Amino acid sequence: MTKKYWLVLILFFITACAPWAKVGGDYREESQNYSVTLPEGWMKSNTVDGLLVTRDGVLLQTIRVERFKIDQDLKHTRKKYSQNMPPQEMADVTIDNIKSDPLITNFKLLESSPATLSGIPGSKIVYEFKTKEGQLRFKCIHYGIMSGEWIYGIRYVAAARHYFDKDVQTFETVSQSFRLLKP
Amino acid sequence: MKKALYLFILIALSLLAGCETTSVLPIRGGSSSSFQMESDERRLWNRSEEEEKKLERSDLLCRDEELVSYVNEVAKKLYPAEVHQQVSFRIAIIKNPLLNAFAYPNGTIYVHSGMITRMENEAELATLLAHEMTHVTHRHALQQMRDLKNKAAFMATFNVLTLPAGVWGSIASLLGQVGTLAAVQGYSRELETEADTEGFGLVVAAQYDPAETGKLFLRLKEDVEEQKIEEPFFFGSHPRLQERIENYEKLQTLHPGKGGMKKEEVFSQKICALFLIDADQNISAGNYKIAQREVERFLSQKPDDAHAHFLLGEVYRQRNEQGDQDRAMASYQESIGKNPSYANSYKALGLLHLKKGEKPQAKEHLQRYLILSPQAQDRAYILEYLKQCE
Repeated sequence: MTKKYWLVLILFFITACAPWAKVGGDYREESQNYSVTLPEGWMKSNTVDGLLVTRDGVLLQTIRVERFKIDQDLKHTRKKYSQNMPPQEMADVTIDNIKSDPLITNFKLLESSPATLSGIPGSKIVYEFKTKEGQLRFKCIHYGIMSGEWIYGIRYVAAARHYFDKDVQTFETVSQSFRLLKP
Repeated sequence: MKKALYLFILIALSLLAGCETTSVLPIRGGSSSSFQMESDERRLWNRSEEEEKKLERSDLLCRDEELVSYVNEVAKKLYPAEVHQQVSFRIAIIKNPLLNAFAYPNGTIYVHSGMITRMENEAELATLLAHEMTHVTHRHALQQMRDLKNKAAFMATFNVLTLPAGVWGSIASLLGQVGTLAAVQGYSRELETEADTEGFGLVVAAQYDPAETGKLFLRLKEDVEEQKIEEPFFFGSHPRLQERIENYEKLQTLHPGKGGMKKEEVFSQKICALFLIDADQNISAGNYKIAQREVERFLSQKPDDAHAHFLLGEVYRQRNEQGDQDRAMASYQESIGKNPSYANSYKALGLLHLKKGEKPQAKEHLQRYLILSPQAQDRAYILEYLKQCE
């Protein structure tokens, strides 16, 4: 009996501490005030802040949902978001933050357009880049909205060749399912 | 007592066996002192070449041939031809506003555009290049690598041998590891001072004005303090800049009132294009003061450039201080005056008019923008704004 007890306990801890967990279906993040429907068979990282899921590995494709305060300092630009900023200006700050990241090279903006997320008017940015270390080209779609004192973003990054097209529809379905729990 | 003596001898012997000499002869040129590369140095050069290839493949490097050839010409003047025969120096410019410059041991030197646009004349450029070239000729990277290797060997030896020494040994090794980590930050003060001293000699020998040598570092220090720049790079760190300033002040006393070349005009002409490249990035990074200075320096030479007037307008619009919206509008109008086909200024003017509630003017400018730039990435936004103008 004691042996079984220990086995269950060890298995419990191994599962709980695993860096990746299988996900799929409805996902609620009460602490971050959103819900989203995740694709079946994808893996969620337990080691990063916010929600990060991938199917084939983080270097091939990721979908990430994040939330941060509007007045929070951005990592690569001194610019800041502000309350009541129109979506295009909000998108410009996001673009400038990405462009100023010293680890990103060959940045190319492909599209900046209006979009809605959870019924809230926001922005959609599509861009390509290469990392400074590797020669792999990535493509990214980023949706962003402002709600109260928070910025919400949902982002899809994938290797531009092959992987981006493969999962872009999956990402669009995920982004359409994004809902704020308390708008 | 005897035990302690044995321990001391054992430590000393282990250190001697594990250490490689860090002192190496500088590359001086000439047949009498031809440069012999050592095996670990060869590995260092190979690694440098690999890293350089990555940089070459990126879009980070400035491809303006005239500008790149100009900085390489300045570098050529600093060392005699014999040295250039042994080390093929190559200067490349990285399009990045950070205050940085660094040399690979094989002679490739990268200078960030942000560093060059802070300079006022060729003598300042020569000072920086001479400093970096000295790191190459005096094989500082090799010395540093060996030094670190010795420290790592020292720590391994120290940890094993001091274990029996009880608690004091553990504390000593702990402090040692932190110290070792601290030593990894850049070249040692001695090597940097050597680069300052030798570099200063090269600048003076090339007939540049010694009084100009420390001015760049003084200006960089002001920038770092004023803008509260937090850059983990050598030239972007406050104490390191202070060291440079003090060293050059001392060195200048050796040649009081000597005078020499400054070459302000030719320098400003040659690097002119870099001002806008850097200003654009500084606007993205929100460094408006530096961006404004760069655009104004560009305009002082090319006052008819529509893109430069647009960038100045962007500085004002995005900084958004008292009176900035009016200044922005004037700059955009100036831009259109210089080039009536410059699309971005029409968009900017349209958005400013829309914010002011001046819908007819907004509509006119936004429509013009879409005519001039039918494939604009933000077309969807503009169409939305045009709807608001109806």
